[in-house]
Amino acid sequence: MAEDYLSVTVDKFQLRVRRGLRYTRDDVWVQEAGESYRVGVTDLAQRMGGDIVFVDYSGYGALRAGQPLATYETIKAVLDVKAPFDCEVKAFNEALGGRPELINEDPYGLGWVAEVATAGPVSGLLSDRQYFDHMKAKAEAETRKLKGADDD
Amino acid sequence: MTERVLVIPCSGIGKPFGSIGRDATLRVVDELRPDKAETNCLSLLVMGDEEATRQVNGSVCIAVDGCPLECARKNIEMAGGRVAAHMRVMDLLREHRGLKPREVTFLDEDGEKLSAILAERIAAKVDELTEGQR
Amino acid sequence: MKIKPKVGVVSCSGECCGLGTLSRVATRLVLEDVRPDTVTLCLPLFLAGDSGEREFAQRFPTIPVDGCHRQCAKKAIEKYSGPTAADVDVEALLEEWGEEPPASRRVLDEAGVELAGRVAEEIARRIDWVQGESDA
Repeated sequence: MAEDYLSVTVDKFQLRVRRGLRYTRDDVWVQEAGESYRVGVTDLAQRMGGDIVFVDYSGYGALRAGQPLATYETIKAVLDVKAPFDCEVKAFNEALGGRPELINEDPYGLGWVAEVATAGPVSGLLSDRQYFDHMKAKAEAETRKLKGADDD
Repeated sequence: MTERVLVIPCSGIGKPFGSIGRDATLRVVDELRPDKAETNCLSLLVMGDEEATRQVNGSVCIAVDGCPLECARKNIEMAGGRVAAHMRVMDLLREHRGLKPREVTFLDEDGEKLSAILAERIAAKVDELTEGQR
Repeated sequence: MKIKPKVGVVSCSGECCGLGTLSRVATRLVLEDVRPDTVTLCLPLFLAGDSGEREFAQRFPTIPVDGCHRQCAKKAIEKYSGPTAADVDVEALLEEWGEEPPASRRVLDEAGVELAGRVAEEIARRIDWVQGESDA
């Protein structure tokens, strides 16, 4: 439902940020899921990356914040899903093996990427509103860059 | 007399996949199977053009979609057509991981390769569907 | 500071003849080179209706580029979004210039690419007019 999201339209694209999740500046969302956290990429990330063709996982085990827990490949690039904090990967979304486009279609739902656990405190994450402001600025800057329209 | 198979690409203009699907379709109907397959503009179909509607009602269709948005399949079905086979360029890309088509306006080398592979697949499907009509 | 409105351009998909290919290539040349700040709307997405294409065309001036007299792009915009801001009829342009349509509908030869460039310039003229940059 529309009220579950903060959204903005840039050109013809509507970009959404799901309320109630937390975020990183690397365009990763985090949701508490019992003893662990579910992680995925945001609407902005999937939109900028383009159609996802493959998803590869880094493997189980410990990761530092910022290290890739998975990569996803589009025809434009290979992009990282960066660990939002020091954590250990517990599970991957196996549905992405056959249908990586789930990330494009439903980045906050069926397109989740991994579940992680952490022994330490989770800090440094953005609220939904904070990420929305960050996302909006980033999307508008990217659009200007692509169109070369900085002609003031 | 067997009816020709109607092959309709999405022809999406924003991504290489749309151009590849379009190119492959035209390879099939103009070069590989001109006696067994034909195409028409998806938009004519959706906008209710009489000739296009008659054509789609009388034919089996192959929808060729670039990406998971599946505009060709959706629009053919909205127009009352029967999609007997559905092909997606992105699925083919997964079978050929080394290919990275990037250009939309004029296909690059990898786009041409994918188009040729897809065209053979479509042609084989056309053969299968026309064989089924005998 | 003069604010130019965003402009959308929609090409027909044009599988049926070389004129459609010409429309498509010309529209892409506008986006890539001639007027990169335009927004190219995808006609199949527009027709399928579940993306932002129709909403964009409702909010911003939009120009259809049609290969032939059947004017699929123009009719689609008028049906689902509203009046068009300016039109490009490629078949009519070629008649005016005394040029033949491309023979192949799959691949444009050198002459076809040059023709696409001329059509792209015509599209750009319409864009400039809509944005108030020039006379029609």
